[in-house]
Order: sequence, then structure tokens, then C-alpha cells
Amino acid sequence: MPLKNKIVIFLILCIITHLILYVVFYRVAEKENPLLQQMAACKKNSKVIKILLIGDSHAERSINAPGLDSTFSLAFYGENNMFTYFKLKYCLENYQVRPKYVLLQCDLSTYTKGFNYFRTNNFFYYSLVGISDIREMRDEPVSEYYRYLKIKLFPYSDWQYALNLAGKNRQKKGEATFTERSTEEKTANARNFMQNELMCSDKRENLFFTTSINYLKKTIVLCKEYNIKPVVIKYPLMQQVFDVIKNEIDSTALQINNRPPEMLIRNLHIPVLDFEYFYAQRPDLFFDCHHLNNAGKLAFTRVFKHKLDSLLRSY
Amino acid sequence: MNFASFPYLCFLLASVLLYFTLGKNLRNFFLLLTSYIFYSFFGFGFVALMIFTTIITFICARYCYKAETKNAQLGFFLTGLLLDLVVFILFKYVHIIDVDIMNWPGWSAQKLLIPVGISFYTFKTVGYCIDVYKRKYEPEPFLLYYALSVSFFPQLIAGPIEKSHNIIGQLKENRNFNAENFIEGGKLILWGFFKKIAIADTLALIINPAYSNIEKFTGLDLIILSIAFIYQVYADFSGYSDIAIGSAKCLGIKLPFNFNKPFFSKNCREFWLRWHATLSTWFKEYIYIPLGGNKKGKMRTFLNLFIIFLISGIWHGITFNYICFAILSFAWVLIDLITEGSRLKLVNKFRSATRWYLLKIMSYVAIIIMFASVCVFFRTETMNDAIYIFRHLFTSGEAKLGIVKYLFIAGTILVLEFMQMFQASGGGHCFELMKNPYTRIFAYVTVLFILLLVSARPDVTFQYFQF
Repeated sequence: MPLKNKIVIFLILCIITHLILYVVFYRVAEKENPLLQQMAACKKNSKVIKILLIGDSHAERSINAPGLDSTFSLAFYGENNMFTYFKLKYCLENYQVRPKYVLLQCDLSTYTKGFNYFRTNNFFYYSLVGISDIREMRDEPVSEYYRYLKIKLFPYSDWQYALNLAGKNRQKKGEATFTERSTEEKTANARNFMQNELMCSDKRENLFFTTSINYLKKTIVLCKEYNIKPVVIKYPLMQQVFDVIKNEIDSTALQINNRPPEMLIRNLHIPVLDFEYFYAQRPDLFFDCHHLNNAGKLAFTRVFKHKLDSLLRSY
Repeated sequence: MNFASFPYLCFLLASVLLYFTLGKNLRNFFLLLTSYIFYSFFGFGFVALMIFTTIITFICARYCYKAETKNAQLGFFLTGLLLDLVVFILFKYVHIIDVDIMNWPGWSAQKLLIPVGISFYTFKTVGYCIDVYKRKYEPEPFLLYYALSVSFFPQLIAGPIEKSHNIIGQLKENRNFNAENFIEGGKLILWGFFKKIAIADTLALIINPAYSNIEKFTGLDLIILSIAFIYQVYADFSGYSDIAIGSAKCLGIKLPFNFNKPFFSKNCREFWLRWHATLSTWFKEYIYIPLGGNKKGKMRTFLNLFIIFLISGIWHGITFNYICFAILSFAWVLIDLITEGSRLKLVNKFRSATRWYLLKIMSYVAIIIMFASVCVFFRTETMNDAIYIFRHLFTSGEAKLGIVKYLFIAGTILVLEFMQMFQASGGGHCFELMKNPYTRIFAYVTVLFILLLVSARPDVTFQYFQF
């Protein structure tokens, strides 16, 4: 067979395979992608939402949104605040969601570089983000452009995240308790969280991510544009995290008064509900050093409801 | 720049396009520049070091060839060789020096980075010096060609180790763009990507976390992990080699194959000739034969082999693990040599059509056992971990990996071996033996889309980049 014919057959086969995968993938993703499901629920409930909860797994695992009146959770596992901004913007612009309050997250981890870099499920988030936004979200925009275009052109390449395969055992995780772990394991878990996830092991000078803090500002501005009052929540952490910070991390930036996002929030006079130390001595309510378990979620929601109600009465 | 990545493909494509667009006088200069740019992605200092090594060996080899007296020839040869080796040893092994010994303010041996690929280009420059000194080849009169043969980007980082003389010969030929070469190169790159991303990195998903907590595993888990690792390192390194050879082919340069289905070797010696073949050939030509090879009696042959394996181990790194890796590899070859006669008798008994496959299976199992045992030292970071694995290989305990992961590993290995069935011996693209062109095209499309489907994982660095 002449080379030309081989190339033509190869290209035709590639196009057919691509189209089949494309169609099949979108059909399956519509059913399986939890973020698409969450957005659909948000659209459906847009008229009744008064309080909108946003954030990452800390928010998702700490607050049982159906247990609070007229509250809807847009929080999602591993979501960084830049993607949160785009998701919120999309809901406000397209679903006519008009909450009175938005509960923002301001944990130790939320605005750090380590946390903001290693995010997945780009299939969903990149559908909300324009290519021009990509440039400012990463230090290496070239590789990010490539990832962006790849997901736009070949969305099925992100199938493992889009179809939520990684999240199948999330419910099971929430059933465990931190009490079951030995002292060494608890410290190792806290060390891993601080050193590897937040500090990227050795990049402590970049601990907080300027772009991420800029997006916090943008989120607050967006809320004000829509007459939404922001409230900031600091979710509970285990004592081991504070011990690791105190004993192993030589960084003044982590001290409460020096954390840049918190300084910004103070300057903008946004009320803060601080639960950072609230359950520091309650390993039975956590499954790891920075996530509440199912029992912790229920207990915390009760406390949170009470505190939030008293705050909102005066806000 | 990661070889198995889209940016590398873009870099290669741009290089090929520009290379063949340029006039013939400019092409090689452009290729040299491209190679230095490619290397500079790993660090500008590394480029400076390579240029230094290149110039030193180029000048010394030239003067060595021109010198009239034997002493002068030896003097220039040793100067080039020693300077080359001093740079290599300094940058590769200085990290093991105790920092306190070099008690200079602000100094730390740990601050020196190991230049990526230094081992590989040092092999070439050393080989070049020896060849010129021995009058095997004339020295290259143009620095441009020599520098390009050292820094030629497809094989700069981890081989294949090709003689400068052979690359220069091809560089000097008038090459025009050849679509067949380009497509053949593309097929090899695709096959290399597949081995790296779909096989090696897939196995790494299980192997890497397991080896970081190896003390949690016992018995069957350890056996499976050890076998899985040899396939991971094979797919990783041979995948890299295929990408390198394919890239060079796109530019019209032929590089030698590095792997030839090594797990199907008949014995240990053959295995080492089919595994990282260009390194084995280098050792054979520049160390083993000058030491006397197998011409000076059995004991001397054993000693020469031991020296080769020891140098190979030290080349990987000066740690107890690599030394043990070398000693155990040598021990297996020694057993192979000593039992050769009795094994031949056994082979003759099996020489019937029906039993032939049994013999092949036995060879395969023996090679897997040999290499898996050797690689225990290669993969583990400490001797304690390696000893732990050997001590717990046959102990019973709770299977931590579980049947699903066993099947996953077995399936991944089977996919690789199945696809290799269609690859001709001596390298080549993966579906060379498929005669029907439609089936072959379909197979390539399948491989391409499998790659796309497994490409959403974080990059895993090539195992041999560290050397």
C-alpha cells in the first residue's frame, strides 16, 4: 500500500476514534462528574439559596449544608480559591443565584502555593475558565496552556478525574477517626500535610501564593458587585498541625498575625468565624489532621449554625 | 525537559522542520545550537561544563594524533582522559564527600548538582580519546562536528552511547528530508511513549508508594513488586531509548538499539548484551578487551568480568546498594559460566519440538529471577530495605497489595509482552512483524489513543536520567 494511503487511513481512523470517545465521554461525564451534578443542583435551587458555602474539602467535610436553613454548598474536594472564584462567577451570571451571604474559606492551606498548584478535575474547571485567565493562574503558563488546550481538544484524556474515580472512597474515608492512629502516625500525617502539601517540601519562601490572594480579593469584589455579604470561616485543625508548625517550620508567615490572606480580610473588615483551634484536642472528630470525619461534621454543623446565626443577626 | 512530553515533541518537530529548511552549511551548526538549547533546559552551567569537556578532549585528541613520539602521544592522551575523568568524578561523586572535610565558608558539596547525562557524554569523549590514541580513527578536524557528536540532543541525556566517529560520519553526509525516515522515527517515538507512559508510569503507580513503605510488605507482595519493578525499569529505559533513536531518525541519524527483548535471553551473559547494549559494548571494547577479555584463562576472565560489573555499579553511584548490585550481577554471570556445561546437557535433553517451549519458559523464569534479585539493590534506597526484602521474600503475611493489584501488574506486563511479540528482534518499531497494513494502522491508532487516555497523570522522571 502506498505511504499516502496509509497516512490517509491513519488520519481517518484517528478522527473516527476521537469522535466516538468524545461523544461517549460526555454522555458518561454528565452522569458521573460530581461537579456537573453539583452545578445542576445549584441551578435547580437557585431561587431558594440564601447562604452559599464555598471552599474545598475542609468546607465540604465540616459543614452539612442541608442541616442549615436555605444553605447550599458549592464547596468541593481539592478546589482552589481561583477555581472557586470562576465557579461562583458562573453561578451568579448564569443561574441567577442571589444569596445574601457567601461563606468563604480562609484556612492555613487555602492560599498557599502548594495547595493551589496540585489541583485535578481540570475537565470541569477549564470549562469555566478562558484561555486568557490561564496565564495568571500559574507561574509556568506554557505548560498550563498546553494542559488547557489538551483538555479542550481531548477532554477524555482527563477521564480519571472527570469520572470521579479518585473520589469513590471519600465516604469511606469519612468513617474513620484520627484516634485510631498512633502518636507517630498523627505527627507524620501533620508533617506530610504541612511539608509536602503546603510547603512543597522546600519552597517555604513561596508559602503563600500572591495570585491566590488576588483571587480572594476578586471574590470579595464579585460578592460586593452582587450585594452579597462575605463571611470568612477558618475550619478546625488538629493540634498536631500546630505542633509541626511550632517545632519544625521556621516560618513567621504562618503566625496568625502575619498570614497575608488574613491581613487582607482584616483590612477589608470582613467578619471571621475562627474555628482553627476549636477541635484541636478532639481526634475522635477527625479522620486526618485537617479533615473532620462524619461525626465531626455533624457536631461541627450544630456549633457552626449557632455561631453563624448570632453573627448574621448583627451583620 | 521531559522526553516523554508534549513540549519535547514540539521541540523535536520544530528542530526537524528548521533543520531541513536551512541550507546544508548551516544545518549542523543549527543542530549544535539546538542541542545546547535542549541541554540548557536542565541548567546553563551544565552546558558550560559539557563545552569544557568537549574542547579539552578535542584538543588533546588532535595533539595526541599529531605528536610524533610515543611519550608525547601518551602525554596528550592521558591529559585529555584525566581531565575528562576528573570533571566526571568531581561532579558525579563529590556529593559523597563529607561536608566537614571541606570546611570552607559557604561551601557544601551538596550544592553541586549532578549534571544530567554527564555519564553518557563522558563515555563518548573517553571512547573518542582512546580510539584516537590507538589510531583506530583519525581525530575529527572540525570542532563543530565533534561537539555535535557529543551533544546531539536525542542521545545526550541517557544514550544510546554511540561512537563520535559514527555520528560524525552521518552528520557529514548530505541528508535531505526523508518521509519514510520521519515516519519510522515517529513510530519509534510512539512506541517509546507507550512504554514509558502506559507501562512504566502505570506500574510506578503501585511500585513507588510500595517501595516507600517496603517494610509493610511480605512474601508474595515482595515477589510481585520485585518482578513488577524490572518491567518498570525496562519499559522506562527502553522507552527512553526508543524515543531517542526515533528522534535521531527523524533528523536522518541512525543510532544503535539499546534493548533487544532482554528477558528472553538464553543466559545471563546474553542478557547483559541485550540490556543496555551500547553500554555493554562500550565496557567490552574499552575495558574488558584491553584487560585481556577471555583470552588469558578462566580466572582472569572472571576477574575481568568482576571489574566490569564493579565499574558498572560504581558508575550508577557510590553506595552499598550499587556495589551489591554489581557483585550480585557478577555472581549470577559466574554461576552461568560455571554451570554452562551441565546446562547444555539439560538443553540437549529438551531439544525436541514439544519440549522446546518448556526450555524457553525455564530460561525466561531464570532471567526474571536473576534480574529481579539484582534490581532489589537497584531500587531500594538503603541496604536495610534490600536486606528486608530478601529476608521476607518467602515469609507468609497478610497480602497488602491484594488480588486486584496483582492482576493489574500482570495485565500491564502481559500487554507489554504481547505487543513485543510483533516487534522484530534487534529493536525496531512495535508492530514491525504485523504483515497486514490495515491491522498495523489500527494498532498504531489504538496505541495513540491509549496514550491519550493515560496521559492525565503527573510526569514521572526517567529512571536513567539520574545517571
